[in-house]
Amino acid sequence: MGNRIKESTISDSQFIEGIYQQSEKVLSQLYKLHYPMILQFVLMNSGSEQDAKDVYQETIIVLCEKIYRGTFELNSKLKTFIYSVSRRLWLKRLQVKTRFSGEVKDFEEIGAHDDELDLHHKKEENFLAMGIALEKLGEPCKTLIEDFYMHEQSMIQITEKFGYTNTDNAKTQKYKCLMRLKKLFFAEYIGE
Amino acid sequence: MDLDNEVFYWIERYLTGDMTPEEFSHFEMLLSNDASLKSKVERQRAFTGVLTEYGKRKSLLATLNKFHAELPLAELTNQYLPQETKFYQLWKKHRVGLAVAASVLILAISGSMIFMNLLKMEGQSTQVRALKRDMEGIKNSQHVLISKLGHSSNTVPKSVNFGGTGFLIDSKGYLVTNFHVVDGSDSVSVESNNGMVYKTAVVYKNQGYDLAILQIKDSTYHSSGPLPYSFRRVQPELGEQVFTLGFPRDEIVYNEGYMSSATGYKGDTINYQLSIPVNPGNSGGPVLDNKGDILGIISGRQTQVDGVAFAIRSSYLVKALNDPKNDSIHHKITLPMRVKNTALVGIRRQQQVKKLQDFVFVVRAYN
Repeated sequence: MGNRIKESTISDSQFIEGIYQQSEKVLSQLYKLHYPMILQFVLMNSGSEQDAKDVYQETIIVLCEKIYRGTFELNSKLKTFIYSVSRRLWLKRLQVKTRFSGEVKDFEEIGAHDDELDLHHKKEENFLAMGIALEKLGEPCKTLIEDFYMHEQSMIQITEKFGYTNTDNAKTQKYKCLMRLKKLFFAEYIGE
Repeated sequence: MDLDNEVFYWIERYLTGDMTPEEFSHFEMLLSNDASLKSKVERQRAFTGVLTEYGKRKSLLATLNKFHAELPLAELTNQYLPQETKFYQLWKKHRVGLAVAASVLILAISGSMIFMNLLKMEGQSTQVRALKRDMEGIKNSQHVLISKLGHSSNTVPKSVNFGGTGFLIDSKGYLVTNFHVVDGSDSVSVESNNGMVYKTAVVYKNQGYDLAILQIKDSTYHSSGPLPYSFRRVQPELGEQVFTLGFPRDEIVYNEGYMSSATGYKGDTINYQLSIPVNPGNSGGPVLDNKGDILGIISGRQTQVDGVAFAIRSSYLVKALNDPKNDSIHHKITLPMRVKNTALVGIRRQQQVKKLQDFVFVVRAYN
């Protein structure tokens, strides 16, 4: 049914190793290699190009994080894993959109599935809440928090950047911002 | 820095490994003894963990988007979009525009069809309308009249198809009218202004000139006397005043106007164009000038244009009478040509009309 995707010269295990080593080059190759397959699947199943992009990126993120955590086990082909995860993610989205008729057009093997997606979904919820909480935090807290916790800047750097008198003041400010963020974050959950 | 803040920073240093070995082991000992501290550490670890992972996720997503932008997206979409979906997506994109275009097209087509139909209808009824009068309405009243009189006639009253006007062209009972008035009828009768009805025979017909000559074939007919008018030889001039007598109703009707053009509809040389009000029933009536000369015979009027009428040139009546095919006429009729003074010269219009009345007849064509 579908077009046969050209097999790459990099083996699956080489891909996994490269991703674990945080090689952007390897990740890039993997990304571009398997996207057409997911694009075709989503388009064939009532999706748009944007849907395909979203689903595929979510899949790659799942893969990457499994690799980083060291919990990734390759039972079959990497391609099969990607297809199967994308498939499940897409069908879940379809159900939400209530356009799902029950018929799925497949053209690849579906591998056995485990629970990694459940964990992934939980994490996705957290991230969503965090994103909202950060937005609500506003400045200067948002940048302060992001600089320290996400961009791994030191307190000394932050003190300079924000113009605090000394690091102690900066630390106090950071503490206050974090407490506020915490409040906002949990409020998101309660709100849900 | 308050206590909470301090505790927070101890925990943070612990979590990030920012402690000296002594501090670390000391803290761990505290943890093993203090359950609340332990849970506080866990909660802080969890929360800041989400925060840092969130950051990592954001940067990963940014990287993936970078890769995505490097893909040949248009090509891929084209390649993998199933044909029906391609069409469907195109359809979805353009369906509103297509619907509007389709509606406009339908409106335009039906509009122009209606318009064309209207035009066709106009065309069919011709731009020039012959002025015979349809007598259907009269038919019923005639039947009523006859039954009232108690006539047990052998002859069933015939239905009158059309009516028009005719006038005498000599003193022996020959009349001229239009061909179209008598066409298709097998008997024609005429009625004088004083109500005398006479049977006639159609002795000559000329479709091209739209003329017909009738002969009164009735023993009760008496000559009306010499014609008070003559037939004009000289071409009338534009603006010249004209008048007509005719029967658009059952009583004689006078109308006047003027010469508009030396030619008829679309340059037709058999007719003149006049500006004169005429109606169905006027066909075959005489058109006279101020001196009482007949210059034409009413034949029709132009539709959609007010007051435009056409009259057959009297010279064509002359031609018709000189026609060698005209052998059914027993003797040649000589039309009186313009004499110095006819009976109508120099008198007022009302007097002219009074004199003319006896020579103009209703023509009724039966089937």
